[in-house]
Amino acid sequence: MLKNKWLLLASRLVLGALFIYASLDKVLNPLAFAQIIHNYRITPPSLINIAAVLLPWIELLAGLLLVIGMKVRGSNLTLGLLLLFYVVLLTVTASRGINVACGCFTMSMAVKSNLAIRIVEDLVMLLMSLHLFFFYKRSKEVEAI
Amino acid sequence: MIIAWTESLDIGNDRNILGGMKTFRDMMLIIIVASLIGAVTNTIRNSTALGGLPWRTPWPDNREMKALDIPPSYQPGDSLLSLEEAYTLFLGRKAVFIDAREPAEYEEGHIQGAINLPFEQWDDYWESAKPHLSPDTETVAYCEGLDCEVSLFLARELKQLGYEKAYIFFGGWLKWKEAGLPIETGNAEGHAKE
Repeated sequence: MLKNKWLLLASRLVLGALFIYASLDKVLNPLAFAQIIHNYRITPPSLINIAAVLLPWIELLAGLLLVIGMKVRGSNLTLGLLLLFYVVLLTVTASRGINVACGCFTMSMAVKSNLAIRIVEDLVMLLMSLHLFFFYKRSKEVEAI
Repeated sequence: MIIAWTESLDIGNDRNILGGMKTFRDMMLIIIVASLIGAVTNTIRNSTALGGLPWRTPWPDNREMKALDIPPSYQPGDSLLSLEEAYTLFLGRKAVFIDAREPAEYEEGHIQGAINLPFEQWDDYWESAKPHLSPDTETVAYCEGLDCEVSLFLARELKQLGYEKAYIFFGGWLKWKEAGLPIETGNAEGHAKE
């Protein structure tokens, strides 16, 4: 059932679209994103701006490739590892008692995120990524191109 | 059995090492290309005032800090004071402490000698607060503490008006009171309005 091509297509499109959507606000507002990274209180100061500038583009490019069906396994691995990193980061942050704006989908600082909900969201996305990782065959990718 | 099971999964043609390597190589390629695009775009945005981010801005190292010390909407350029630094300025007697909270809160208690300039009612209070300030002396804006951020906004406003030595004591009223430092209540001298 998990090998169903429509299900694989759904995982691919949904995961890709979510990352494209998530990256746009960050690409447009690098300062706001840098502020949010700073608020996680875990990044060395010298790396904050570099991360704020580069990370959104990695999300955007990998998301786009996933949606259009190019280098699906490579972009899926990129996003999957990012998701894994985010889950660990959010869990650590929550356990440190830091109430932080997530910076996941919006750069707004006004609303403090409920980190538990964010972690669940990321886990659901991680499942989609794992689905693709285990069941998306490269031969399909060749067909798609 | 496990081998048979993994083979039945037919893991995306990555059963052989070469397939896995290609996926990994693709990932590295994506990261490198995206980073290059990001770096070039940011350099262009920086040189054309299109909202790029300077590669180096002085973020304070907050990895060891507790939640209260740094406001969530901190921006490079905000001058933050710790409790000790604020108290040092207080002892110097020159700095003007500005309570950015509402008048009712101010009357209930404020840092000794502070004037009240409620940020939310800036227009009503600015004229009477202005004589207390000078561009050459330090001002220390504070509000309630915790998540209250009007002290930041107030200090930014003051900086824009040319009061370069505008500082923020983000610990605010709560930290000050908690530390048992000098306070007073009521409509102290310097309180504005009518």
